[in-house]
Amino acid sequence: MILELKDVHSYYDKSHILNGVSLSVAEGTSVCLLGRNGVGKSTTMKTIMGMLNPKEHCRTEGSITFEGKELVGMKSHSIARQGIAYVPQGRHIFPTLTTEENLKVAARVGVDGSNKWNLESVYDFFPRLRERRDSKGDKLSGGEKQMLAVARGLMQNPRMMLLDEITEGLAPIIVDQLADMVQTLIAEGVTILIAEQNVKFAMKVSSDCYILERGVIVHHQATKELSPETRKQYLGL
Amino acid sequence: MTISFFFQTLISGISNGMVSYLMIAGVSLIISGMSMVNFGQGAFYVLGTYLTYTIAAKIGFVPSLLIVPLIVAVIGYFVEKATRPLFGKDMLYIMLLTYGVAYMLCDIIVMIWGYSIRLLSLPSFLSGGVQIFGITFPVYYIFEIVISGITAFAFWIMINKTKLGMLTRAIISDRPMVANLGVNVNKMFSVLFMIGIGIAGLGGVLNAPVTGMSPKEGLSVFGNVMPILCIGGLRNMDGCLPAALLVGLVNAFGAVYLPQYYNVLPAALMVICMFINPQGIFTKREGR
Repeated sequence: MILELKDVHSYYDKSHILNGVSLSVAEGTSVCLLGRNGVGKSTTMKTIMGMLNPKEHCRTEGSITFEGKELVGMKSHSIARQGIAYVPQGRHIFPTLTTEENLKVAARVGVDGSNKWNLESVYDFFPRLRERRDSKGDKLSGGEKQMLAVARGLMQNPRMMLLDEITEGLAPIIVDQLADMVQTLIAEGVTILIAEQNVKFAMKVSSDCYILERGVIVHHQATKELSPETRKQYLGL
Repeated sequence: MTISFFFQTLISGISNGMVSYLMIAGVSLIISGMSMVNFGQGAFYVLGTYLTYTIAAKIGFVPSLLIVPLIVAVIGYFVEKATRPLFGKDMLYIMLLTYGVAYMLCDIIVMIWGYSIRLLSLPSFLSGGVQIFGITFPVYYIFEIVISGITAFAFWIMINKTKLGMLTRAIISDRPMVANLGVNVNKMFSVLFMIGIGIAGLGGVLNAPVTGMSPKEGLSVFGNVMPILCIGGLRNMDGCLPAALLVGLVNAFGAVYLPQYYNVLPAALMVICMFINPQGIFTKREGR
């Protein structure tokens, strides 16, 4: 297992958000976290990234290991440097930087020294971004911003990517493009953990899925085998 | 006003503006990148001046241009380390703390150099005047403009073309995301603070042969350049240079035409500019 969460509890001040989440992601696979709004999907992602800062009265307990290394207690930037690229919900593109600058700030060789994803290869993967290379981040469309957010993640030559609700607010046709893109990434050997509300998208791009409810994993199954009943019970679909 | 007097005033205004720019560029960098106003900037500027008195006497003025900013930057490194626990807290803490640091620095300057105001004598190649189109300009003013111009250009390159500059602009809008990209934000803050303080130190070096400074001016000098910051735009690093030049010129010509109002001119200009655009007149207005 490349990423393993064991009995992870997270707190924002006094609110207990994650109530003992355990999950694991095998190398080269794509795993999906499903659940309704506010069940703790994004918090799980942020917890992995070490963003629940004790300075802001947040706390994480339990164990998160990445390739055997304990991440709990590590700073965000050190976690990223282990080879985890985080694509946050809401994209968080730097608005005052151009598309190309948004990519350049993230550029880094991988942990293994690989530089497979550089400006050129990322532009080849997302030709639309090449056309928009000189546009400021806040001038991009929603779909372009999302592509840029993923591309920025790739520029770090990561071992693993965390994609947090990347389909949020996007037109179905763009969502389909994103699905193709994520499938290509998986084929390229990138390990992926996705948090999603869009079950259709999740079924296309993940092999394994966990369903979260109020900070607890309530269901774990191969994504393809998710029955309509399960979906209805936990996701209201 | 004769043509030659006009041009002499122009050059003195530009050179004063450029030296103010050196102080304000660092402040702006620190505000933009770290979201803290360093009220102690003036003390580092004066420290630069006083270090120059001692160091220029030993190794000459030109090497001091490099050495003194470095020393000031290293001192800045420790100041930044010491103030870090207050980052992200209420701005008032930072204001009081940096002002307190300025107080301490000024008193240390008094302890080392005493109260007497001194003036550095210029190396021979920088003293005297130079004739351009029949008008005599002080060589040193031209020298100041050149050195500050080079620094401004290097600063512009750093902000707009280097990864550090991109990260500085990125961190303004989204600090956690910058950390998520694997950037050690604390380390970056140290570097930004050192650059900001170092540039102020350079301003202090350039100032050493021009005006004698009392150590306590470290506390007040910042107030004189604060209008530049507001005119250029608090978080607009590219606005510092035109704003500094504007204030420099207004000061120079104001001294000739409105000497009785000399002291209020920068502040008055600031008020007018803030009526035009409170974000700074050199800040592009957001499209609506």
